[in-house]
Amino acid sequence: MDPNDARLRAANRRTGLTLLAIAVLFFVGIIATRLIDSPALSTGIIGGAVLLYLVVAIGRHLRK
Amino acid sequence: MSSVPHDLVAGGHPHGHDDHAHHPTGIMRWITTTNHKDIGTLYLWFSFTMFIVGGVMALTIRSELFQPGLQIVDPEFFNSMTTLHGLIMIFGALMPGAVGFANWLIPMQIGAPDMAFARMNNWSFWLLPPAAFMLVLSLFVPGGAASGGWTLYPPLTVQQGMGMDLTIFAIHIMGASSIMGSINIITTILNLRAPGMTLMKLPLFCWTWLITAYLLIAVMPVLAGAVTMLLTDRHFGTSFFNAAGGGDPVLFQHVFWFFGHPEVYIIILPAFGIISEIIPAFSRKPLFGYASMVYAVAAIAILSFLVWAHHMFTTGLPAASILFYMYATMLIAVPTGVKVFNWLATMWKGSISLEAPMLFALGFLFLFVVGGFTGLILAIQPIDIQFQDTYYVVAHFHYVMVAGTLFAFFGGIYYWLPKWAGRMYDEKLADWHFWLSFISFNVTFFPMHFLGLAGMPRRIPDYAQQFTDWNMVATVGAFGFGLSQLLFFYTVVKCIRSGEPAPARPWEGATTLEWTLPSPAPYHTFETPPVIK
Repeated sequence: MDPNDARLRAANRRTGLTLLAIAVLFFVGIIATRLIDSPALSTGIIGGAVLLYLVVAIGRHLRK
Repeated sequence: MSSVPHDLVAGGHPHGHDDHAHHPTGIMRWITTTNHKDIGTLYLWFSFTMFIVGGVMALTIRSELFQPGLQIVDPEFFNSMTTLHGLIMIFGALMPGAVGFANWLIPMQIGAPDMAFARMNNWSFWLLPPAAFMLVLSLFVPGGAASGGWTLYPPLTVQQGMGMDLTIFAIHIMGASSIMGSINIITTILNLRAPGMTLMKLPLFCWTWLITAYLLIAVMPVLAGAVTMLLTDRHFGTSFFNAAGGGDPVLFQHVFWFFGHPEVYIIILPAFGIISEIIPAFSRKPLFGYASMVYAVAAIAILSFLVWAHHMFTTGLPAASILFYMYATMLIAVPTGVKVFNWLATMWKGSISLEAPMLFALGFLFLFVVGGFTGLILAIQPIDIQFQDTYYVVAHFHYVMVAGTLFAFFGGIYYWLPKWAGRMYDEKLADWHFWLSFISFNVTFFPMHFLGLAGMPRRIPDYAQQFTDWNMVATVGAFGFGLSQLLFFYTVVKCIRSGEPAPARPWEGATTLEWTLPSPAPYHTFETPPVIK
């Protein structure tokens, strides 16, 4: 495992960017829920999305 | 003491060159470093510094509460102390402390040469000192520091002065630092593990941190969103939480606790990981029920997102919601109980020795269970209505945060200090540190249960006379606990400067990869990865 290996660096970049995108989505999402007409529904959606992310992110590792 | 467990790894090159000629020296070494060990050291010293700052604030609070009446500080300053004490201890001391352990240990435990994003790692750390400086600076700006409690509830926080803006900015920066750190930790664990190290072979400390990092990525943006909305309410004419403009202050509480409750587990899960390393090592037995420990951590993490409104039982929730949050909160006791059971089962018929790390682990176990049980009591809504905002709650969360996380950190520091410093600490001094901390902690916080049961509210600088005796006892205990930490500082410095040289594996029951390295761990390690059998 060479840290300068191009494939490893690309894989690291992919993982990092995916996680960053999720964080940005939650940040924008929680503010957006306040700006649209049905805050209860939109808050439920963003809350559900956070829960889904956790179940998928953690759950997929438990099988290995 | 015994030899390095060579049977654990095959091939590879456990450590690289140990020369320090390829990096700057002096202050520039620490400012520009991308080495995970240096950055781990920076995090740990930063955490200790903030622990002292937050501790001085706690002692200011306890001094004022030594007797009824206003003696030392005015009520506004007292409220700022309770607010900043909470924020500094959580964001400045406990979280960076846990990240310090992660930086030092995760690459060494998975056989990686460094963190996946070494430069971002440096940036993650160096964002923290300016944020901490801003928090402390807020004490000196017109209007004083934030004083609405660490929970930052509006409408009070919408009305406060410039100190609140500095607090919001500091939280943004610390949140960004946490997210960067989490991305780094997840990427490192997923992509840089040594060949043969499957996820279910990860040391439990790495598992707890992997799950903690996922939690952080979920909740820090939510907190950032909440305080951003608070900021726009204060300065840009919006009314997210401002009732005068049609906003809903209770909504902030929902959003805040959606972050705030998982935050408790973000702080405690790495502590669970440390304890799960220490107990097997000093029981000289493998950890009992490894897979169930992993599943329990995962269950705790996911359930922690379903219980936030138990912090809001007095806000007028519908009966169905109250029942849901009450039972969901109680449900967390199941995976937590699995962990406690497994730690006890690990010790069962083990060859236990009571060096300082094990003493702190046992102290953690005993006191964390006390904090857990008082949490269960508070989960029962009819009882919570009586205890809401009393000293019972203060006692509960200090049993979890201090006796839980902080004791685990102390245990972890004594456990890994020989690997970090290459020297053994003074066992007698460390034992004294444990017993003084254990006794003074209980003298400080156990009476707070009585005060809460008698109805003493939290966050008040003055109180009715019937609360005097236990407040005096708690203040004496608090100063004892504070002084005990000076002994900890002395013990660590003495170890670094003049401790006996440490062998590669000073604890015969320690089996993870970092113990295959010499002590102190070379500057560069596992440049050629080991192969795990």
